[in-house]
Amino acid sequence: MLLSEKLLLHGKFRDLENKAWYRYCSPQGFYPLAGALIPWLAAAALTACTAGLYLGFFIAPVDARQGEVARIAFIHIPASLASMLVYLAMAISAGIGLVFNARLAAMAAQALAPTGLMLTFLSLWTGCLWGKPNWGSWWVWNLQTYSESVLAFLYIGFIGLQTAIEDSHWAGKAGALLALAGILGIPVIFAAVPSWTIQHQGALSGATGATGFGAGELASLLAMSLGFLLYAGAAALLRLRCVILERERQSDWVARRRSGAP
Amino acid sequence: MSWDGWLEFLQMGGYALHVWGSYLVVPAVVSIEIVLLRLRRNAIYGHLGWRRDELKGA
Repeated sequence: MLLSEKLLLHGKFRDLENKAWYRYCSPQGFYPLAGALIPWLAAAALTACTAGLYLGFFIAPVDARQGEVARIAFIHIPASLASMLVYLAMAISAGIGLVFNARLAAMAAQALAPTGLMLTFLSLWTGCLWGKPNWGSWWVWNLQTYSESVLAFLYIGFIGLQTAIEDSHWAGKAGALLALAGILGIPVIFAAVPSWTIQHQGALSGATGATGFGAGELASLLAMSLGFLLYAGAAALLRLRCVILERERQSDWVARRRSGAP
Repeated sequence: MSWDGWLEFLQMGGYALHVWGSYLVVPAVVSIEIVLLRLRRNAIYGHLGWRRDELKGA
């Protein structure tokens, strides 16, 4: 018996089905909500990134030690952060799908993976370009580059499993196990950034040369991170709508939607 | 503001390749992702026999 069924039998969650928000937990109910959210998320992402770019190029000072190349931080750090947070969201979604047999959660995990892989690629790409002047080489193996590469392979493995296993139910289960196993690597990347003995990238040193983020740098990093996460949300919801239609194409509600409301 | 003109801005203190190579790859991959998403959506719409102009806000 599923854990969710046990909870329902226990009676505690029986009235949930009558609650308005419960409707949005089904693919059918979430499909129009996702459609309504996408333009807002996309507009907010664009606004945040525009603000972040302005702050990063016109407010943040030239880095005293690294020069202009340190401006890559405003894209490298948000991309890395977003690649990890999207992975967390994907693994948690997949885990909920596995434990509660929740179809929408499993579909959401599938929708998040390609965007996460794209962010991981951005993190690695910008890391190489920033690393060249810092390390004297396009690529250096250290804990961050190692774990971000592992993250890329986890995303590729997850996407590969979804593609290779035809039965979407089993594909979701296999993917969830991989995603949950990989979640152990996320704290390693986070912990590694400041504590690694070999400096990962040169630390930002602001206008004065003192290590640490100034207000301009911090504001740009926050705005860009927010922008990347909002974009990831919009892209994942767009993909989730495709996944929902692909999986539910034989159901009545999809058939009824043809002439129906948005 | 630390730039004396557009040329200097574009030169990025000699790191133009690194900085613009990082920043321009973002719109590139985002465009690719959006195009792929549209193709995927059009494929499933086609499969379902939905036409874009029949759907309001879909």
